[in-house]
Amino acid sequence: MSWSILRTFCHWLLVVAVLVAPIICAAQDQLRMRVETLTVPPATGPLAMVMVQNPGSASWEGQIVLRPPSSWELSPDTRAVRLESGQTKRLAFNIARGRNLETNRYPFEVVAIGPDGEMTHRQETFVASAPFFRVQVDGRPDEWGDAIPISFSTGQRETTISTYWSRRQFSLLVAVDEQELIPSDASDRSSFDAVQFALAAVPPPDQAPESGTAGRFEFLLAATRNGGARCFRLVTPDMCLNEATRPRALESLVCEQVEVAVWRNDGITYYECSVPFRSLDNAILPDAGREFFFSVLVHDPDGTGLRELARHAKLWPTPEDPQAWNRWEGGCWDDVSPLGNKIRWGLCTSKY
Amino acid sequence: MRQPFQPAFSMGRIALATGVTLLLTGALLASDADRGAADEGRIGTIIMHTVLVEDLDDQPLQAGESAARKLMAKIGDAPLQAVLVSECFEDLPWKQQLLQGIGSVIPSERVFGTSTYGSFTQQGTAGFDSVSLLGIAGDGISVSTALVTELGVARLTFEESEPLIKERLHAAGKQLADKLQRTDRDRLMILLADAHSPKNRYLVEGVQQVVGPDFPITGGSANRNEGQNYVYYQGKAHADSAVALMLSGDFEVAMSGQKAMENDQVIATAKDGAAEALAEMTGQPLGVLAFNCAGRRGRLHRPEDEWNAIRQALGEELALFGLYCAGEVGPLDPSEQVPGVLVGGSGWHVMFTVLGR
Repeated sequence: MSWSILRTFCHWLLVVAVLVAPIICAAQDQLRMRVETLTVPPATGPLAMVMVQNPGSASWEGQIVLRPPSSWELSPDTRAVRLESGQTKRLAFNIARGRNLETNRYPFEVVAIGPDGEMTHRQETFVASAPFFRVQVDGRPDEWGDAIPISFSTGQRETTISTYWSRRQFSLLVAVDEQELIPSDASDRSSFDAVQFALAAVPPPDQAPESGTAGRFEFLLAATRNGGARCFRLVTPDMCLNEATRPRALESLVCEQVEVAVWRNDGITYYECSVPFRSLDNAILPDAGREFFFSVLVHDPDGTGLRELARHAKLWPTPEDPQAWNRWEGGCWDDVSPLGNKIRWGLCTSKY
Repeated sequence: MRQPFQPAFSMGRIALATGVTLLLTGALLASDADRGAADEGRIGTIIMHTVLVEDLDDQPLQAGESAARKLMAKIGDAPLQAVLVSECFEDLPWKQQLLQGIGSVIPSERVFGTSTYGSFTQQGTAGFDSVSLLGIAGDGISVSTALVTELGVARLTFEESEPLIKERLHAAGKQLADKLQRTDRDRLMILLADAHSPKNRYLVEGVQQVVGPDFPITGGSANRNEGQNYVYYQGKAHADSAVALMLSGDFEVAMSGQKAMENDQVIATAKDGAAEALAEMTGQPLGVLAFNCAGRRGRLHRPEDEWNAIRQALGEELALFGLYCAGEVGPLDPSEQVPGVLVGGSGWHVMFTVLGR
């Protein structure tokens, strides 16, 4: 009897293996593809960048075709590429003719044509760019009409992020649709509403990555009970990675250099701030066309929990994600780490 | 079937040289400026000099005066035809102080230019709080100038208002070119405008309705950062405006234009473009105009790399007047060329023009 059962088991195991093996192989052969954010409004004819990664065990060779939104022209729209196992490449496509869209949502298709057929990746991306404008941090959103806002939903609640730059400062407005604003000094709450953001320089490709250090600035914006607001500098680039993720007493991290205002109007909480470039140790040059890394987490403890801009940007999960954000005490942390903090962002001159 | 690997953007390469007929007799007056050698049946002299001054003391007035004095010291007694200003000071009050400083040395009616994102000359590069001047002097060259204000496109977007942008800029370009005094010795138009890429193409098209599709035009768009978008005409700042300078005389022009958006290509196209324009110049080079895209500079890992490449191509002695702009006018990348049309307005380009004789 035992032989019979064993034979039957082996038979089915073989069947399952035969059926499943191609699926596993196909999955291994699949490329990961992602369209990066556009760091300049597309009407000026910048580049669209596509990340492709070969997670398979064998090399992959073929063509990557980028299909832009309708009425756009790319020149060329096809790139030949060879990817070794585990290799990632960043491919540039010249936007010969593009159009800015008020929605700031740009649908792309990336088609990988390889020896085993075609694979299509569909994705929306957005313009991640700060126009030049010297904003006053005064609790009034009307100055932000010339920004290029990015909106995304989490649990049916909207978050809108706008950025500006001027010669001396990088400015941010985050509009959070939420039920209630919990200030950071609320006595009866263990967690509070806040906006956390990271800024980092894009290192030249020929520069070896600094291992072991945070390589980024992180700031936290939160309201206070008296209608005021505070900024905390959570992380500086020279901190060691482990230290950068650990919570520290926020009171010791208050950053007076960053102007901040938090206010609430019509169900929306607004976080507005300006970070002097000087306080970023020249990590970001205030220069039109310059790129840097940026990302935002919104903490909404009594509502949606954590809201991640990186999810809207379709960043890939990476092994480094657990070390990408400081886990300050009172935030909406989960067992699953938020996605990384490196969304490409640009400094542009104007949306007009 | 696989296609061969192609770079993401084609590097446009156009070069041209306009032949010049020497007019030794019977030349027309081409200038608002001094009557020169042409009237006397001589070729005359042409002088081009540049200076670059960085203001480290928050003193734009003194910076302007200092730059102007240095320039005039180089030019000496040669009759000054025009001074081109490329400045990167923040906000109108500082810009006006700078112009006042320049005007304290140089007659304001000779001063033209634009707000930029920075400048580069054979001496170096500079960004915020800097001014660069190009002096065009001598009795072998003359300059006719024109200004058009109220272009009416600054806050219009291409997506919503392209037909209106096209209509207004075609009209403005035509009006600008119509205002210029024309002669048969016109060699090069310099166009400076508060109309950035991609709007600048329509301004150029408007100008071409008057001067023709094969006339050499180069130029750049003013810094379009909020509150910085000025062009300068006879020493005064104008927003929402365009300035044209028509250079006339017995000289040749060689041009090149190349486009790039990534570090290595930005450096390579700058070097190749400069070398190409210089090689096309059959006469003795007098000076170089370089209208460069500020966005290109933003893509450099080390901002000085592009300038070093240009200097390698041009040498260290030839007068170089370089501006970082929000749009460029000159020979376009092949992907953007219109058949039979010599130049156009675009972005992400570096446009070199070598003047020589």
